[in-house]
Amino acid sequence: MQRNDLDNEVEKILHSLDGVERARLSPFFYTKVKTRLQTRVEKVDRVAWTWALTAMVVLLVLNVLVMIKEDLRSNDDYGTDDIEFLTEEYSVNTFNIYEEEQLEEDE
Amino acid sequence: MIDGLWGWGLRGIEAEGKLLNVAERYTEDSDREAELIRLLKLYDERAFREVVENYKDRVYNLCLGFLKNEADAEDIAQEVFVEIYNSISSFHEDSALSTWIYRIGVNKSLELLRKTKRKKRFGWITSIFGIEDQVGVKHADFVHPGVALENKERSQILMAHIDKLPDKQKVAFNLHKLEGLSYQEVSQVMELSVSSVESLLFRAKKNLQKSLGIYYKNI
Repeated sequence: MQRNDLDNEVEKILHSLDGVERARLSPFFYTKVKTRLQTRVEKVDRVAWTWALTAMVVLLVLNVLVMIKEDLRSNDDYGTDDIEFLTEEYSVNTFNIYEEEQLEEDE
Repeated sequence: MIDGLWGWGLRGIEAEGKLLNVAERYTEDSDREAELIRLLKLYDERAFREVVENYKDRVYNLCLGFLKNEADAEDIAQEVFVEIYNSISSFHEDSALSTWIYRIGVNKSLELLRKTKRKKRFGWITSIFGIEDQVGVKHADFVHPGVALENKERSQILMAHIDKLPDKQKVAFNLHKLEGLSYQEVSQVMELSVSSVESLLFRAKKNLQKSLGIYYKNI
Protein backbone atom coordinates (compact mmCIF):
# COMPACT_ATOMS: atom_id res chain seq x y z
CA MET A 1 0.00 0.00 0.00
CA GLN A 2 1.32 3.46 -0.96
CA ARG A 3 2.00 5.99 1.81
CA ASN A 4 -0.89 8.24 0.74
CA ASP A 5 -3.32 5.35 0.40
CA LEU A 6 -2.29 4.12 3.86
CA ASP A 7 -2.82 7.56 5.44
CA ASN A 8 -6.19 7.84 3.72
CA GLU A 9 -7.29 4.41 4.90
CA VAL A 10 -6.18 5.16 8.48
CA GLU A 11 -8.15 8.42 8.40
CA LYS A 12 -11.22 6.61 7.07
CA ILE A 13 -10.94 4.06 9.87
CA LEU A 14 -10.59 6.80 12.48
CA HIS A 15 -13.79 8.38 11.18
CA SER A 16 -15.69 5.11 10.82
CA LEU A 17 -17.48 5.68 14.11
CA ASP A 18 -18.69 9.16 13.13
CA GLY A 19 -22.45 9.35 13.26
CA VAL A 20 -22.74 5.97 14.96
CA GLU A 21 -26.23 5.32 16.26
CA ARG A 22 -26.78 4.38 19.86
CA ALA A 23 -27.22 0.64 20.51
CA ARG A 24 -30.63 -0.07 22.03
CA LEU A 25 -31.82 -2.44 24.72
CA SER A 26 -35.00 -4.50 24.79
CA PRO A 27 -38.13 -2.95 26.34
CA PHE A 28 -38.01 -5.62 29.05
CA PHE A 29 -34.80 -4.28 30.51
CA TYR A 30 -36.54 -2.58 33.45
CA THR A 31 -38.18 -5.88 34.48
CA LYS A 32 -34.76 -7.55 34.48
CA VAL A 33 -33.28 -4.80 36.68
CA LYS A 34 -36.22 -5.09 39.06
CA THR A 35 -35.79 -8.88 39.28
CA ARG A 36 -32.07 -8.46 39.95
CA LEU A 37 -32.76 -5.95 42.72
CA GLN A 38 -35.33 -8.25 44.28
CA THR A 39 -32.95 -11.24 44.17
CA ARG A 40 -30.19 -9.13 45.72
CA VAL A 41 -32.47 -8.04 48.61
CA GLU A 42 -33.55 -11.64 49.27
CA LYS A 43 -29.93 -12.75 49.22
CA VAL A 44 -28.93 -10.02 51.70
CA ASP A 45 -31.85 -11.04 53.95
CA ARG A 46 -30.75 -14.67 53.84
CA VAL A 47 -27.14 -13.76 54.68
CA ALA A 48 -28.28 -11.56 57.59
CA TRP A 49 -30.42 -14.36 59.01
CA THR A 50 -27.60 -16.86 58.67
CA TRP A 51 -25.25 -14.57 60.60
CA ALA A 52 -27.81 -13.92 63.32
CA LEU A 53 -28.47 -17.65 63.78
CA THR A 54 -24.75 -18.46 63.85
CA ALA A 55 -24.15 -15.77 66.49
CA MET A 56 -26.99 -17.18 68.60
CA VAL A 57 -25.66 -20.74 68.38
CA VAL A 58 -22.12 -19.56 69.31
CA LEU A 59 -23.47 -17.67 72.34
CA LEU A 60 -25.50 -20.67 73.42
CA VAL A 61 -22.50 -23.00 73.16
CA LEU A 62 -20.33 -20.55 75.14
CA ASN A 63 -22.96 -20.33 77.86
CA VAL A 64 -23.21 -24.10 78.14
CA LEU A 65 -19.40 -24.40 78.30
CA VAL A 66 -19.16 -21.81 81.09
CA MET A 67 -21.93 -23.55 83.04
CA ILE A 68 -20.21 -26.96 82.73
CA LYS A 69 -16.87 -25.46 83.84
CA GLU A 70 -18.46 -23.77 86.87
CA ASP A 71 -20.15 -27.00 87.78
CA LEU A 72 -16.85 -28.91 87.65
CA ARG A 73 -15.08 -26.27 89.76
CA SER A 74 -17.69 -26.38 92.54
CA ASN A 75 -17.42 -30.20 92.68
CA ASP A 76 -13.66 -30.38 93.25
CA ASP A 77 -12.42 -30.37 96.89
CA TYR A 78 -8.85 -29.29 96.70
CA GLY A 79 -9.76 -25.61 96.94
CA THR A 80 -9.42 -25.51 100.74
CA ASP A 81 -6.10 -27.37 100.58
CA ASP A 82 -4.75 -24.66 98.37
CA ILE A 83 -5.72 -21.97 100.88
CA GLU A 84 -4.08 -23.82 103.75
CA PHE A 85 -0.94 -24.41 101.74
CA LEU A 86 -0.72 -20.73 100.84
CA THR A 87 -1.35 -19.69 104.45
CA GLU A 88 1.46 -21.89 105.71
CA GLU A 89 3.82 -20.98 102.92
CA TYR A 90 3.45 -17.22 103.40
CA SER A 91 2.80 -17.34 107.18
CA VAL A 92 -0.32 -15.34 106.83
CA ASN A 93 -2.02 -14.55 110.13
CA THR A 94 -5.39 -16.16 109.95
CA PHE A 95 -6.44 -15.79 113.54
CA ASN A 96 -10.00 -15.03 114.05
CA ILE A 97 -11.73 -13.74 117.11
CA TYR A 98 -12.56 -17.21 118.49
CA GLU A 99 -8.97 -18.40 118.19
CA GLU A 100 -7.83 -15.25 120.00
CA GLU A 101 -10.20 -16.03 122.87
CA GLN A 102 -8.86 -19.59 123.02
CA LEU A 103 -5.29 -18.30 123.24
CA GLU A 104 -6.17 -15.96 126.07
CA GLU A 105 -7.77 -18.84 127.97
CA ASP A 106 -4.71 -21.02 127.46
CA GLU A 107 -2.48 -18.32 128.83
CA MET B 1 -41.37 -8.69 48.00
CA ILE B 2 -41.21 -6.01 45.31
CA ASP B 3 -44.02 -4.19 47.05
CA GLY B 4 -41.95 -4.34 50.20
CA LEU B 5 -38.92 -3.11 48.33
CA TRP B 6 -40.65 -0.05 46.97
CA GLY B 7 -43.15 0.32 49.75
CA TRP B 8 -40.78 2.24 51.96
CA GLY B 9 -40.39 5.06 49.43
CA LEU B 10 -44.05 5.17 48.54
CA ARG B 11 -45.07 5.30 52.18
CA GLY B 12 -42.65 8.19 52.66
CA ILE B 13 -44.25 10.11 49.86
CA GLU B 14 -47.79 9.32 50.91
CA ALA B 15 -46.86 10.59 54.34
CA GLU B 16 -46.41 14.01 52.78
CA GLY B 17 -50.07 13.93 51.99
CA LYS B 18 -49.93 13.58 48.22
CA LEU B 19 -49.65 10.64 45.90
CA LEU B 20 -47.13 11.59 43.30
CA ASN B 21 -47.47 11.77 39.60
CA VAL B 22 -43.81 12.32 38.77
CA ALA B 23 -44.28 13.66 35.25
CA GLU B 24 -46.89 16.21 36.28
CA ARG B 25 -44.75 17.78 38.94
CA TYR B 26 -41.82 18.79 36.78
CA THR B 27 -41.62 22.27 35.42
CA GLU B 28 -38.07 22.90 34.30
CA ASP B 29 -35.19 20.54 33.58
CA SER B 30 -33.14 21.38 36.66
CA ASP B 31 -36.20 21.28 38.89
CA ARG B 32 -37.15 18.04 37.22
CA GLU B 33 -33.76 16.49 37.92
CA ALA B 34 -33.72 17.76 41.51
CA GLU B 35 -37.20 16.32 42.06
CA LEU B 36 -36.21 13.04 40.40
CA ILE B 37 -33.17 12.73 42.68
CA ARG B 38 -35.27 13.54 45.73
CA LEU B 39 -37.77 10.82 44.79
CA LEU B 40 -34.97 8.36 44.03
CA LYS B 41 -33.62 8.96 47.51
CA LEU B 42 -37.06 8.01 48.80
CA TYR B 43 -36.82 4.79 46.73
CA ASP B 44 -39.83 5.78 44.65
CA GLU B 45 -40.44 3.11 42.00
CA ARG B 46 -41.80 5.45 39.34
CA ALA B 47 -38.81 7.74 39.64
CA PHE B 48 -36.44 4.79 39.40
CA ARG B 49 -38.28 3.45 36.37
CA GLU B 50 -38.01 6.86 34.72
CA VAL B 51 -34.25 6.90 35.31
CA VAL B 52 -33.86 3.37 33.92
CA GLU B 53 -35.94 4.16 30.83
CA ASN B 54 -34.11 7.45 30.20
CA TYR B 55 -30.58 6.17 30.65
CA LYS B 56 -30.66 2.46 29.80
CA ASP B 57 -29.60 2.87 26.15
CA ARG B 58 -26.84 5.37 27.00
CA VAL B 59 -25.42 3.08 29.68
CA TYR B 60 -25.72 0.01 27.45
CA ASN B 61 -24.09 1.77 24.50
CA LEU B 62 -21.20 2.94 26.66
CA CYS B 63 -20.67 -0.52 28.19
CA LEU B 64 -20.85 -2.12 24.75
CA GLY B 65 -18.06 0.19 23.58
CA PHE B 66 -15.81 -1.13 26.33
CA LEU B 67 -16.85 -4.78 26.50
CA LYS B 68 -17.69 -5.57 22.85
CA ASN B 69 -20.11 -8.25 23.91
CA GLU B 70 -23.88 -7.70 24.02
CA ALA B 71 -24.57 -10.10 26.93
CA ASP B 72 -21.81 -8.63 29.13
CA ALA B 73 -22.85 -5.07 28.25
CA GLU B 74 -26.46 -5.79 29.25
CA ASP B 75 -25.33 -7.49 32.45
CA ILE B 76 -23.14 -4.54 33.42
CA ALA B 77 -25.92 -2.09 32.49
CA GLN B 78 -28.19 -3.93 34.95
CA GLU B 79 -25.46 -3.74 37.60
CA VAL B 80 -25.17 0.02 36.99
CA PHE B 81 -28.87 0.54 37.78
CA VAL B 82 -28.70 -1.73 40.83
CA GLU B 83 -25.78 0.39 42.03
CA ILE B 84 -27.74 3.59 41.34
CA TYR B 85 -30.65 2.27 43.40
CA ASN B 86 -28.43 1.15 46.26
CA SER B 87 -26.12 4.15 46.48
CA ILE B 88 -28.37 7.07 45.52
CA SER B 89 -28.19 8.25 49.14
CA SER B 90 -24.44 8.83 48.70
CA PHE B 91 -25.01 11.01 45.60
CA HIS B 92 -24.39 14.57 46.80
CA GLU B 93 -25.58 16.32 43.63
CA ASP B 94 -22.18 17.94 43.04
CA SER B 95 -22.54 16.82 39.41
CA ALA B 96 -25.44 16.13 37.08
CA LEU B 97 -27.26 12.82 37.48
CA SER B 98 -26.21 11.79 33.96
CA THR B 99 -22.53 12.44 34.79
CA TRP B 100 -22.81 10.26 37.90
CA ILE B 101 -24.52 7.48 35.93
CA TYR B 102 -21.89 7.57 33.18
CA ARG B 103 -19.16 7.43 35.85
CA ILE B 104 -20.70 4.29 37.38
CA GLY B 105 -20.98 2.76 33.89
CA VAL B 106 -17.32 3.48 33.11
CA ASN B 107 -16.12 2.09 36.45
CA LYS B 108 -18.19 -1.09 36.19
CA SER B 109 -17.03 -1.74 32.62
CA LEU B 110 -13.36 -1.20 33.47
CA GLU B 111 -13.77 -3.45 36.52
CA LEU B 112 -15.02 -6.29 34.31
CA LEU B 113 -12.21 -5.72 31.80
CA ARG B 114 -9.61 -5.93 34.60
CA LYS B 115 -11.28 -9.07 35.95
CA THR B 116 -11.13 -10.61 32.48
CA LYS B 117 -7.43 -9.72 32.18
CA ARG B 118 -6.70 -11.32 35.56
CA LYS B 119 -8.57 -14.45 34.50
CA LYS B 120 -6.61 -14.61 31.26
CA ARG B 121 -3.36 -14.35 33.22
CA PHE B 122 -4.29 -17.33 35.36
CA GLY B 123 -6.18 -19.05 32.56
CA TRP B 124 -3.58 -21.76 32.13
CA ILE B 125 -4.13 -22.90 35.73
CA THR B 126 -7.90 -23.10 35.36
CA SER B 127 -7.52 -24.86 32.01
CA ILE B 128 -5.47 -27.60 33.72
CA PHE B 129 -8.44 -28.30 35.99
CA GLY B 130 -10.87 -27.98 33.11
CA ILE B 131 -12.65 -24.92 34.56
CA GLU B 132 -13.94 -22.66 31.82
CA ASP B 133 -15.26 -19.23 32.72
CA GLN B 134 -17.08 -17.38 29.98
CA VAL B 135 -17.40 -14.06 31.84
CA GLY B 136 -16.05 -11.12 29.89
CA VAL B 137 -15.42 -12.96 26.65
CA LYS B 138 -14.74 -10.44 23.90
CA HIS B 139 -15.56 -11.04 20.29
CA ALA B 140 -12.68 -10.12 18.04
CA ASP B 141 -15.12 -9.65 15.18
CA PHE B 142 -17.46 -7.40 17.13
CA VAL B 143 -19.32 -4.84 15.08
CA HIS B 144 -21.18 -2.06 16.87
CA PRO B 145 -24.89 -2.38 15.95
CA GLY B 146 -25.22 1.36 15.33
CA VAL B 147 -22.54 1.59 12.65
CA ALA B 148 -23.61 2.27 9.06
CA LEU B 149 -23.26 -0.72 6.73
CA GLU B 150 -20.45 0.77 4.62
CA ASN B 151 -18.37 1.44 7.77
CA LYS B 152 -18.83 -1.95 9.43
CA GLU B 153 -15.49 -3.45 8.42
CA ARG B 154 -13.48 -0.31 9.23
CA SER B 155 -15.23 0.22 12.57
CA GLN B 156 -14.46 -3.40 13.45
CA ILE B 157 -10.74 -2.70 12.97
CA LEU B 158 -10.99 0.57 14.88
CA MET B 159 -12.76 -1.04 17.86
CA ALA B 160 -10.06 -3.70 18.07
CA HIS B 161 -7.36 -1.00 18.15
CA ILE B 162 -9.24 1.16 20.72
CA ASP B 163 -8.97 -1.87 23.00
CA LYS B 164 -5.19 -1.53 23.05
CA LEU B 165 -5.28 2.09 24.29
CA PRO B 166 -4.46 2.94 27.92
CA ASP B 167 -7.59 3.07 30.12
CA LYS B 168 -7.89 6.87 30.37
CA GLN B 169 -7.52 7.38 26.62
CA LYS B 170 -10.01 4.57 26.01
CA VAL B 171 -12.57 6.13 28.36
CA ALA B 172 -12.20 9.60 26.82
CA PHE B 173 -12.41 8.20 23.29
CA ASN B 174 -15.49 6.06 23.97
CA LEU B 175 -17.36 8.83 25.79
CA HIS B 176 -16.60 11.33 23.04
CA LYS B 177 -16.94 9.14 19.94
CA LEU B 178 -19.55 6.56 20.90
CA GLU B 179 -21.69 8.55 23.31
CA GLY B 180 -21.12 11.89 21.59
CA LEU B 181 -20.31 13.75 24.80
CA SER B 182 -18.63 17.15 24.53
CA TYR B 183 -15.14 17.73 25.96
CA GLN B 184 -16.78 19.53 28.88
CA GLU B 185 -19.07 16.57 29.63
CA VAL B 186 -16.22 14.06 29.28
CA SER B 187 -14.15 16.14 31.69
CA GLN B 188 -16.99 16.05 34.25
CA VAL B 189 -17.42 12.27 33.97
CA MET B 190 -13.66 11.67 34.26
CA GLU B 191 -13.16 14.38 36.90
CA LEU B 192 -10.40 16.00 34.86
CA SER B 193 -9.89 19.44 33.36
CA VAL B 194 -11.06 20.10 29.80
CA SER B 195 -7.45 20.57 28.66
CA SER B 196 -6.53 17.14 30.09
CA VAL B 197 -9.37 15.58 28.11
CA GLU B 198 -8.20 17.36 24.94
CA SER B 199 -4.71 16.03 25.55
CA LEU B 200 -6.03 12.49 26.20
CA LEU B 201 -8.04 12.53 22.96
CA PHE B 202 -5.08 13.91 21.01
CA ARG B 203 -2.82 11.15 22.35
CA ALA B 204 -5.51 8.52 21.72
CA LYS B 205 -5.74 9.63 18.08
CA LYS B 206 -1.94 9.59 17.68
CA ASN B 207 -1.70 6.09 19.22
CA LEU B 208 -4.48 4.82 16.98
CA GLN B 209 -2.82 6.28 13.86
CA LYS B 210 0.42 4.60 14.87
CA SER B 211 -1.06 1.16 15.62
CA LEU B 212 -3.29 1.25 12.51
CA GLY B 213 -0.24 2.19 10.42
CA ILE B 214 1.66 -0.83 11.77
CA TYR B 215 -1.41 -3.01 11.21
CA TYR B 216 -1.61 -2.06 7.51
CA LYS B 217 2.12 -2.42 6.97
CA ASN B 218 1.92 -5.99 8.27
CA ILE B 219 -0.96 -7.01 6.01
